[in-house]
Amino acid sequence: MAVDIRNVAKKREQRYSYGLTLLRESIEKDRDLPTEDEIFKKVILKAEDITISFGGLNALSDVTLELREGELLAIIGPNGAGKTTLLNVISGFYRAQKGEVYFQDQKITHFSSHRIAAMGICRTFQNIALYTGLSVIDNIIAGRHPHINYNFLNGMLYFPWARREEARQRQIAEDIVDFLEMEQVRNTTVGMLSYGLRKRAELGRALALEPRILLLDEPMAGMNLDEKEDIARFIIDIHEFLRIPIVMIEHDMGVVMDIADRIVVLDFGVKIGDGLPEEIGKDPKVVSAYLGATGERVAWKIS
Amino acid sequence: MALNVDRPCGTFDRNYYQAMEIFRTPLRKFLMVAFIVVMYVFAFILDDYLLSILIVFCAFSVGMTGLQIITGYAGQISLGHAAFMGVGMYTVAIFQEHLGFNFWMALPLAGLIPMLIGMLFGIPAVRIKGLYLAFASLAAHFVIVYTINNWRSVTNGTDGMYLHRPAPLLGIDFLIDQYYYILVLTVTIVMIYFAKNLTRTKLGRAFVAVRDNDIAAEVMGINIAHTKVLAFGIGCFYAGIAGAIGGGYYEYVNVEWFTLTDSIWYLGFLVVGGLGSIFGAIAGAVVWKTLDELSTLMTPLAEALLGGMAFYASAAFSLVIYSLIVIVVLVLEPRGINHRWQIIKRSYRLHPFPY
Repeated sequence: MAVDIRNVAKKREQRYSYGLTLLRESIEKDRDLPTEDEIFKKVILKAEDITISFGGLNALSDVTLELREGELLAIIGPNGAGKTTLLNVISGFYRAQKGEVYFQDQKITHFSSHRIAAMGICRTFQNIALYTGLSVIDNIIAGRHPHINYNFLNGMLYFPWARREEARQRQIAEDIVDFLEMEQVRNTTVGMLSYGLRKRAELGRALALEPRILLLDEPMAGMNLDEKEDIARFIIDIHEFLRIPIVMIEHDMGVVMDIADRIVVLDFGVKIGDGLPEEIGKDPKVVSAYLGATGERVAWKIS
Repeated sequence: MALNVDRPCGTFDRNYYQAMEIFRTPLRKFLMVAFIVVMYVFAFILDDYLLSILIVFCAFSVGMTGLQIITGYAGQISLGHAAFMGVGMYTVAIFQEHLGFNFWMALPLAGLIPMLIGMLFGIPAVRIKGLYLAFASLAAHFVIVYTINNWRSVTNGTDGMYLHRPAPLLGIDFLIDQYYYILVLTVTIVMIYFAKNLTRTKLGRAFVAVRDNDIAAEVMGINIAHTKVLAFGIGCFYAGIAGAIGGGYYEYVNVEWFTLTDSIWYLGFLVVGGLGSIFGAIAGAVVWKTLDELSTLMTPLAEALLGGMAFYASAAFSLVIYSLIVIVVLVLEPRGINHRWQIIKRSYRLHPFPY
């Protein structure tokens, strides 16, 4: 029996219809989602020969990273390999000593962080960096800051159009809350939430910014299996439904091998591997970086 | 799991507008209206002495709301707030004396000029925070007081200046205290309403974002330099308006009213009221000025008890009491009166049950 592909796609879209539809509409107002032709072909973000050192420590040396449209790229590597530093360079938080970052063919190396964020490069943090005094929903609306179009005087006088705009933003934020299944805690201040929920709220805040690229710094660190599966499901849903290219730093090799389209391996600030998950899994350099020894030595230890 | 119990059982939001309201239940709306009506009725039933206290409450509530925006919301310490209140007063006096403005024309300027000066002194906040910023903001206080003291041709130096209340409008003579109180109360209500709106909309969220996590705020698309400077600007706008309506009551302004001690008490009683809420700012101002008034009332008592020592005793008395109150609140309720009030409201909502 022939399967009607379009029908399957439609059903799939319906599956997401409980969340993110408004966000997608809002994104589609500004730009077109990538077409099938562009996916995996068009380079959207390129970090070229990034070098940065802190004193005598070479955090990154000549690292080149390319992210293509619709790609889920995982960055792996031992602790201190420079993964987070690379994300910090991309999001404009660190300045590279050498090398340039291009976003949609525009050089963004010297842009300020908030400008890069407003262009659509959004990220989450390894150590949760939420606004602890605000509730979950307010955190998400705060994430929409660059997309709220009234100035503070309108907000202060609370003109009808400002009120309408607030309601519209809240609607989109509620949509994200629904998607992340956080309805019950939407009015709770994030300082009172558990670790897993905070990580989720942070993902929601990054989503609210209408990302063009999403940078996730260890989204599953310190979680149990159930929570990891939840987050992996959210990431895949975001990736498929909003067609956002994602860069993800993760230590859980099981998850990385399952969901990543491509893997980049860093070790001591040097890129030692770049390829499909199957290739990376067999690469002797990568294996030795993770095991910290040659195969022989491991064999000796086991015997 | 901690859930917010911020409204009585059975009250639900049916649309997003309802979720954004300041007062969500009919009871709270009614109580607020009743409170405002009672405040207006006070103009006609209280004597001039009690009205003078209420006017001071109003003026300092506005000033404290300004500091709340800077310190409570945006998280930037300002040790020159009393001086900005003075700039507001002097702005009215200078524009009336030298340029012949009337009170109504000078009132917006009394906000805007401190706002500009505040933004100027807020620029260091872009790079420094915490204790370092406190010292940088100290500069604002000394520069302002020095300028007022020494720019004699404009400010009359230490002699002070006279202000004039607004001319009669629609047959209401503001020289009579009870009508002036109505004016002050109206300005206060409008300013506090604006502050409440500010804190629940775009810029207010950006303030809290900068306070709670400035690095994340920058990476999440908030221009923190812009936000911090605006926080100082808006806070000083409030201080200026507070100064203008307070100075209008005394019809006189003197540079000696704005001491560094006042700026520090501003911060101290902001903590007593509770950081990060408009209610906390008002509570802090009311507690501060009530204590002020009580310590004045205590002077005859102290004289009876201590005889000739009374003069020194009463001067020290208020400082000791203020300090004690601030210390006790810091130890017992670091989140201030506002937090205590939230607990009381919560237990009322949950009444038959303890939690």
